[in-house]
Amino acid sequence: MEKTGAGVVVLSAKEAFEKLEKVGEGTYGKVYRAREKATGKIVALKKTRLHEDQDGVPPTTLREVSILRMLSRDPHVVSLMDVKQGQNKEGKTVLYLVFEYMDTDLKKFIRSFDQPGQNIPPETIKSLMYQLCKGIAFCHGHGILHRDLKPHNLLMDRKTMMLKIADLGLARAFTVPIKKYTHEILTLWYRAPEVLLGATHYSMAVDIWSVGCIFAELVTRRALFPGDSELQQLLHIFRLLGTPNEEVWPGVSKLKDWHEYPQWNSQSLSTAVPGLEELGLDLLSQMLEYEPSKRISAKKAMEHAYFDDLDKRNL
Amino acid sequence: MKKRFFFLLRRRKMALGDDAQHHSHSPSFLDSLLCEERETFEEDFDANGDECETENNDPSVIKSQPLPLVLYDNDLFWEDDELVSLIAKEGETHLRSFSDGALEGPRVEAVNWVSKVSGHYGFSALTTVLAVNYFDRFITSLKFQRDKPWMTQLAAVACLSLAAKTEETHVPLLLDLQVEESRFVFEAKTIQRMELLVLSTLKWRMLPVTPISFFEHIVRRLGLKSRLHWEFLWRCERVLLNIIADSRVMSYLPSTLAAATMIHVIKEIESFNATEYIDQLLGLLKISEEQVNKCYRIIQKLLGCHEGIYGLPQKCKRLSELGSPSAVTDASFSCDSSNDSWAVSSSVSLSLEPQLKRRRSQDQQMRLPSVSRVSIDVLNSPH
Repeated sequence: MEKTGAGVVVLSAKEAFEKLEKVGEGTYGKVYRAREKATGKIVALKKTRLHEDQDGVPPTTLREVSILRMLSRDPHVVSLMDVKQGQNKEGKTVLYLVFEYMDTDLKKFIRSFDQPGQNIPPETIKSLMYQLCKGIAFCHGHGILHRDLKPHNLLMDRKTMMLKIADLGLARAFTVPIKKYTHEILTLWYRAPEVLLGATHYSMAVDIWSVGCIFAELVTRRALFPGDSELQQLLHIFRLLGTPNEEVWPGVSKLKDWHEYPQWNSQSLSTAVPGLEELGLDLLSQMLEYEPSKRISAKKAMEHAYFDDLDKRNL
Repeated sequence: MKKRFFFLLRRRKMALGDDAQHHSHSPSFLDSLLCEERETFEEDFDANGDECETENNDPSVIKSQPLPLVLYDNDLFWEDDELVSLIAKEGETHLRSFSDGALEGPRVEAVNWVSKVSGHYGFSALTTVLAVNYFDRFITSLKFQRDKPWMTQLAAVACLSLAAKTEETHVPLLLDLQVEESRFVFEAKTIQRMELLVLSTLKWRMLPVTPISFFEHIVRRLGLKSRLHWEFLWRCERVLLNIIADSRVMSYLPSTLAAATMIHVIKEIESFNATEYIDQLLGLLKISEEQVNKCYRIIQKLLGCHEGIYGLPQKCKRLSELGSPSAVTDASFSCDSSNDSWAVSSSVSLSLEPQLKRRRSQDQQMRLPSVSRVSIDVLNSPH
């Protein structure tokens, strides 16, 4: 317990919260479901260990918190309620990020439709996709790239079917000129081809590719491009969309990791994503454009005719 | 030969997004800062108009390769929403003034140290500006213990470390950050504790609106088509880095400071036709001409020239003569061995051009020297 100059008593994380169960584990620490003692409110506590002998506050934590301080007011970005400081048993400094608690994530939600022939209702897919595009448009509109979009990082409330973007540990603000970002980011299955091919100058289009992969996965309940290595990931993409060349993607052969690849012709997206309506296929094709500059923006995606019949009032 | 810039005021039609609609924008300085060089390029071309390729084994001749420039239409926020958002947010993390004169000396010392270390590691201008923003907000808070002589430097180290982690892709270890004549050397755990104190004091608001936010907005409005737009951005950043140690200019709102800085650059490169552009700039940013003028006068004094924003151009130190911490004035080009591409590790002057082969095309990508490591004093390159 700490008393501030203004006489306000600040409780440590241990004093303020009661841990209920561990719900996950990340790069820097564990995530717990917890109860705020003062209000009884259920929250998620993300614990971050600080290694004193190294680099101080981890850049991922710093970026995640500062970005969420800016974005948290959006209904489709997870709300960061507080940051608490504490010490673990060894006396090392620990940070607890206090988030609103969401009872599931999109990965678990997709898996819950596990019976053969049990598909996610098309109107649910449409609603979730619209919310995702809206959240990403908000991030991009504030100059933030997420860079690690995947079903596991999209939190959901089962009752309200509200979707929220989370885990901004790899997110970063982008500036002009666009920096040379590291390309060892993003879970393989949702990684854009320009990143796989070694581009270090990239932008918002990498997030849109991930959104497209998630869209297809909502429809089929399985990953669109489930590669187990960077090469296999590229080959998965090329088999469906055709091997890119200078004609369809100017500059592709100059990317750092470009090699001569097997030549495939593009397949119809409807073969890979059966059951998706025509307008949905059109939107998906624009999200999976090879040339990043031609990939649809999140803002434009929200205006796509696919969403015309969606009731957007409560989204 | 000195470059001459001509800002052509003209309507620009910009394709937005994926549809083929074209939006006509009313003429404005910001929508049409299309810099053109009035120069002959005959020296680069033979009689047939082809580029002359001469074999040259002289190691002093710098060969060049393009820097990948990837900015897409989807990335450009043509709407005014972004500007409205910047102006709305700029007050949240801005200090109106330094009421305590006792902080002035330590602040100058700290800012100069931050600038030198940023130059040493080739950090971007934004990293330096963020570090100074954090430092200013922290030292004026109640948690800053000004009676301890080492406190200022510890705060400066922590603020620069936080800024680098926020903005840079490669961040030195905390111990390695303490270069450039540090009077005290702090252990990593001490700096970490100070980082946490700074973060909690600033309520983790580490992405403030800065003057660079406005420079970048304006460069986006230009469409990023011409290499000379980068020159404009670079010059604005250089001026800002040269005045950042003076707390008077930093007490102005970022939009006001950005406008005053841009006006300085406009008048330097287009001194006789500046009035119209200044009017439009002030109109677009919707800021007080009086405030901008006050700020501009301070900038002029700091840079050794005296005039109002609409005054007649007067000889003052050109960008090439500005006295800033020496480390900041060097742009380091370093080879990224992992991918053979050349990374510009700090904002780069396009005035390197005299050393490079000139191109006829306005939209030619910027070219950089392809040598293992070159350190060039960009501020002293001819304009």
